Amino acid sequence: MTASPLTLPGQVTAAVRVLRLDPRTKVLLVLSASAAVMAPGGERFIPAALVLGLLLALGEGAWMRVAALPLTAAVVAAVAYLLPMAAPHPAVGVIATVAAYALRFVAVAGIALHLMRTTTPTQLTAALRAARVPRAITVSAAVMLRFLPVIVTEARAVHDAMRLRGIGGWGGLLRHPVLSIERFTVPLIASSLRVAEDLSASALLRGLGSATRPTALHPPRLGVTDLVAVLVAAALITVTVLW
Amino acid sequence: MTTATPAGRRIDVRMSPKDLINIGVFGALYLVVVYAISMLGFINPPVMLVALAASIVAGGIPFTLFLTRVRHAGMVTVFGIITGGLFLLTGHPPISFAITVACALLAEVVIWAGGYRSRRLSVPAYAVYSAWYVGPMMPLFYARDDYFSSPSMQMMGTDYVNQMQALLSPGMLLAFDVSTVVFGLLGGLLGLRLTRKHFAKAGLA
Repeated sequence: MTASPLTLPGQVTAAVRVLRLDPRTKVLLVLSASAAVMAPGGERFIPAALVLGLLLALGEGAWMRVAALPLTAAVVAAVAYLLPMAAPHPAVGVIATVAAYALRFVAVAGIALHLMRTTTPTQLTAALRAARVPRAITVSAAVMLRFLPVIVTEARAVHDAMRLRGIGGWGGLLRHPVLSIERFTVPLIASSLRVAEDLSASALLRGLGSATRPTALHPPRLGVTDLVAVLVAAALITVTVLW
Repeated sequence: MTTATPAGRRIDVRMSPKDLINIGVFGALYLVVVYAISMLGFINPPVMLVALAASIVAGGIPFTLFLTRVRHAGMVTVFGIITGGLFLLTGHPPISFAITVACALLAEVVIWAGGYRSRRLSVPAYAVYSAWYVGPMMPLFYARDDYFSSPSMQMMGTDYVNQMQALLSPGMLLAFDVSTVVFGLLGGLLGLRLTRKHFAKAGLA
């Protein structure tokens, strides 16, 4: 689908980036980090994943993340390991246990954020196609990624309208759970599907889902930087294993 | 895509572009609804569990509406792959993706049993599908020894560790899974009711 270049809020446009990785490399980094960190015994890979996330943030020039990633990890780690010592109570223990898991999540999310911030849906779709993912999945994923921002806009509008009438928010959710779900979801779905009709008619006209393989304007290419990134990741894994 | 669609229960996985668009649109709707409602819990931790349960229930509305447009095998599986795949790319554990796809395949079986026409079967289909919620929680259980064998936990004493170990027992996991399925049933019922009440009237079902 050749929709106009679509940037999610807060997304860095391609021109400012220094580090240019192929989306396939980025996906590979996220998946291998997630496979290593989330596995049983994966706690030892957390520092390596954090370092990789930090390097990617540095390469991307995302200074906010360079500061925020270690800080978040430190706070979460403190809650997980130091808080139970300060207050040995089962309720605190539950929070600490969840925090220990959240630490793994933070480590993977640091790398995932690089993927999300530097890859447009169009690039990701082209990369999935280049990786020979079946057409049914690439096309529907492309549609999903195209629609997400549209639906987020609609959701904001519905939420604003609810607030204007004094309903909604978590207070409302606690008092009338089913009713507030209905009031949020039904208008959201109805208005989104109306937009979807137009967008899908236009996408079909432009050949979405046709049997011919679409050509990408910027075809994904694996380069030297990708090799370097994979080597750095491999080095981090080796260091962790040998330590 | 020129051959006529075969009648009856033959399993046909060919997708028309319209099907793929429907999967994408409802995948996006499902994600936004689930995410928006569970986000309410992150703003306010005491509401976290309520928001989680509410997001399971709310997800039933786009899902049952999606099922009214499912006419052949494979659509729910692709739905699971793309929504689960997006979670995977944002840092969810790989096992969660595998669980999502497995739940989607089970949901396929449920709607296949209804010949892709039964609206009532969309309730158990969503309940089965929403069992994927246990996926993101899995590392809490299978990797708990990592945490409890850490030096800081050794300093906490065995009583405390045993107490926490009991809390994260497989029984707890099962209870969590059963509760997601129960909330999934509620979500399916709500989705079915709203489909009849609003969407059928508006010509969207």
